[in-house]
Amino acid sequence: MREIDFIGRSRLWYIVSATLIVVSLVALVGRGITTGQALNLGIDFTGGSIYDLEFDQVVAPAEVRAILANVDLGKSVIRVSPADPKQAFLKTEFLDDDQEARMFSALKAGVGEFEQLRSERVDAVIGSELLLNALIALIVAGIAMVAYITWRFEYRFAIAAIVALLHDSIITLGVFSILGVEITSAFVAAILTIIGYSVNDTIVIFDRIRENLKGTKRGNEGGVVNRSLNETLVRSINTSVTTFLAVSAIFIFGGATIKDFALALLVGVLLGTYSSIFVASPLWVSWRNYSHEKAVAR
Amino acid sequence: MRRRTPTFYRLTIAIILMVVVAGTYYFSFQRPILGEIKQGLDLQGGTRLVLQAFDAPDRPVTQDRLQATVGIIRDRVDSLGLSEPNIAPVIGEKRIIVELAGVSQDEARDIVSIANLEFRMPDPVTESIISQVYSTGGGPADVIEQLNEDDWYANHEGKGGLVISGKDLIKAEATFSQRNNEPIVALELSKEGQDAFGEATTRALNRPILIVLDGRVHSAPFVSEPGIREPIITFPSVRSTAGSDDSSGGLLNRLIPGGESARGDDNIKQAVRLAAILNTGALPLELKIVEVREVSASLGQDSIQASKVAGLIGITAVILFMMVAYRLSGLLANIALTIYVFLVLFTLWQLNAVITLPGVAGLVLSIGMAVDANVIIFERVKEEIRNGRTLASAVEAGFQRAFRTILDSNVTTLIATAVLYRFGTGPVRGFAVTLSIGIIASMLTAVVVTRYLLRASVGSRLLPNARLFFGIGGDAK
Repeated sequence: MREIDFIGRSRLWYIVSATLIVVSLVALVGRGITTGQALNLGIDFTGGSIYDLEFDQVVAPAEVRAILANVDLGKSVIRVSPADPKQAFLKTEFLDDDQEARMFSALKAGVGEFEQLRSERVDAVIGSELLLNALIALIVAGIAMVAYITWRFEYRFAIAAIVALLHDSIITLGVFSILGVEITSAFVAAILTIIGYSVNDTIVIFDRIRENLKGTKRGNEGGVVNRSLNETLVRSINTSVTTFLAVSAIFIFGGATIKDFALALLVGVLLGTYSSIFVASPLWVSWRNYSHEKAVAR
Repeated sequence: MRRRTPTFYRLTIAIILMVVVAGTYYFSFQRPILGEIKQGLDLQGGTRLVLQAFDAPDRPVTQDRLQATVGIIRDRVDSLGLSEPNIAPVIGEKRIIVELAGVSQDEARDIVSIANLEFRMPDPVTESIISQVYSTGGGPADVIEQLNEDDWYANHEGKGGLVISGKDLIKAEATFSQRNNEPIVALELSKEGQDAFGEATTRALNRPILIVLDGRVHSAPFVSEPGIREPIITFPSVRSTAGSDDSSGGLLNRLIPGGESARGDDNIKQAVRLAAILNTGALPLELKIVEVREVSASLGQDSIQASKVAGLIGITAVILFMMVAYRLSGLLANIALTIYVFLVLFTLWQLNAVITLPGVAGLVLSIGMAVDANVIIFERVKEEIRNGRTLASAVEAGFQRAFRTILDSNVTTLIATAVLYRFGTGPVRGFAVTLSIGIIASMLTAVVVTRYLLRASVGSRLLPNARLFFGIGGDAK
């Protein structure tokens, strides 16, 4: 079997990844400037009320919007389900009991009777604390992982693995920013899963590199890494395919409520596999070579 | 490794297969393990409230008060007979989460509304019930039971006069008597409350006073002294008759709840509980509902249905892929995978974990990931076969090498989950637990189950062909 030259084209992968990261950051910042929010944050983070209502008859977004405008809720988000035009989704500012009652009676008078399938009202910004806590936890987790990988491998492996998972997280956030998909607190869990998957996947490859490095002369790291990547390639593909199949099933058949969450996982699985091969491993080689050259020059 | 006869391996394989098939059948159809695991509100429908406590000038928010508030809400929920409620303070924050399955938000709001605490004189009927219980050898617990039977007191018309209400009670504290180290509940009353209580106890010497919370009698201590302004409720461990005084020493104001022969521990618990009840009734911490989430039962049903379909399709896809990619060893991996799924579900069940919609997605994802350990082992074995080893020695060597890979990659992830559990909150913690279970279970099944099945299949000599096992190589010796 011919070896694929992954390391020889490191520069190409760096350009691809750097472009993706830049696009993601531009999307996040651009969205932040134009709409005031880098991501389409759900009510978990911003506060507000959302409702899934099932009316007795088919509804049109325009008529609902007109009714909401009458009760000073003109800025609300209104969506009617394409699959079932009796079902409407409303997202408004935070409503207290009175405001909610007023909106409901206006809807009953203007559109007709309905059943509440789901309602969520979040007042204070509880979610931002959750986000902050998760971030702190992540930073500590990152340090702990660096320590472990440094102990078992060497520090360059550790940093390369962390760079790869940052790469995955930033691009996932970018994708969500571009798609404008709403970020709920479950999204935090999705990002954490992606990180777990990404690190796991990277270490499997690093382990092979570590093994193949034994008895190798300095300066030939590129070849060793390339061989390792080729040796583990079938495993990388098979594992990502099974994981991808499992999450695709959730994405396609799991229902509307879980679709965004599954999408984040899908993007993350792809990126996690990509970054182990095309980011973490070349990065380690480049760094190692750079250190080597510096040592020789001295 | 010790080698056994092919017959032995054939037998064990047959047994394992039978156990797995029977187990799968039993836990899928006879007693579906999925049905045993507690479902989140997004799956079964219900209401979730988040209550925020606010500091008031005379009653700052403390852990004790939060705990007391949780206690009273739990009592109310229990008295309504709701199934599996989740009522918990948020660690490190001034919030309480209340999750009630199958309850609409209007009902849920009633449950968390402010408690109504009253100290009341008993009317003659009530008083006669109390003395009747004591005269027939009953204790304070029997009195409470009698008075609350069929909500008798709540529905009883002829209530006695109100002594003080919750607003007069500043604080109730469970502590120990300085005199004899018995558990007591000390009450701190407002000025008006002290006046009213002093007057009432002067009139009601040696008679009971009822402590009523939301129409439910929680305690009926006897007045032991006249003019009590700083009431102390005692729980004497020596049986004594109502109103009798066991030489009070320096401590003057005591209400003796009848007398009870109970162990000291029980009395401490009773005191803590009573103080908790009094505190919430007295100081319903300034609470505001900051989050309301309601999912109708019908939407929950839809979500469960969709998750089942998606989960089944996902697992089937993974199983088919493994069969195609790895032939017989893929089949072995699928047996290990089946065991993995039940192991995870069983652990979640035993840990009383709550499974939510994102949790289901995570579980299905973990199935995809669990295959990884098997894939690593099989790829390693294939390499060893390509290097010219026999099937049997390739399995051993491949496994040895793969083991270290699996260990390092999974330990790294486990470290991350441990930190997330330690430093994270709420959903992040739950996520860390679920992921850890998944990682450990997948390691266990790959390292123990897959390994043994591989060894046994090779040892059984049923199929002495590496091509059948892994889709490559020639005949094994």
